[in-house]
Amino acid sequence: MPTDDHIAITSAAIDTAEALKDFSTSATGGVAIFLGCTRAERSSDGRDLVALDYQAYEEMAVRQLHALVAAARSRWPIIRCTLLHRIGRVALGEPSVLIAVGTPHRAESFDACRFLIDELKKSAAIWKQEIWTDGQTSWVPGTPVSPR
Amino acid sequence: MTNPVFQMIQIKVKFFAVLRDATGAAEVSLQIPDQGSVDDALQRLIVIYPAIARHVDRVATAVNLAYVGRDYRLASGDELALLPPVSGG
Repeated sequence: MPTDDHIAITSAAIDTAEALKDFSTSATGGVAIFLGCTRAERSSDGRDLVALDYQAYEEMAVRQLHALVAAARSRWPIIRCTLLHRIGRVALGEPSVLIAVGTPHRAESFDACRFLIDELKKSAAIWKQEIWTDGQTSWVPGTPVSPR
Repeated sequence: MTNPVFQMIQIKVKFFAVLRDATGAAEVSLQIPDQGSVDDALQRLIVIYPAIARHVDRVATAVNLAYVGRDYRLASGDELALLPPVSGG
């Protein structure tokens, strides 16, 4: 069944207003929105974080995100879903991920939105690297994926 | 009995994140024996790129965009990806 879902890995800045445009329908009672943003950090040796740099196995990650949305749709009555993830450099305060879920009632939208970000972080083929004030970079240790 | 002669096949290997840094390559071609497993390919890659050895225990493997186990048998033209622990979001 065709849906209006918008699922993408993008190197362009996420335009939150644009992503949420036309999101509500007469059947939608709740839209839960999650934005994951680059947070300021200080390393144990006193360096400040400048940005995060995301890399993805794009073909696989897009397929995984579609599968996650399909799994969410099988559990909750989702009317519309948008799932965007940045790649490349994401400055402090900028969103790297946007998830919006519209459902008839609020509890379903919160639950589905939470499921999507939790599962994305566990399994999507995406990696982030920290960029520090001294120019050093470090890959975030991450979560090992266990093949089924 | 003579030893069977294994035909070699060519696969594509993709590296990401810490493994891309360790190998200096995003994508390489690799020759392995026909019917070789993902583990066979990994052992061969460790010989070519010793710097990846310390990461391999924590690496997940995917073939043609789907996660597979180390015993998965590769075919000519397969795309094998080595995926370090993920950190999206």
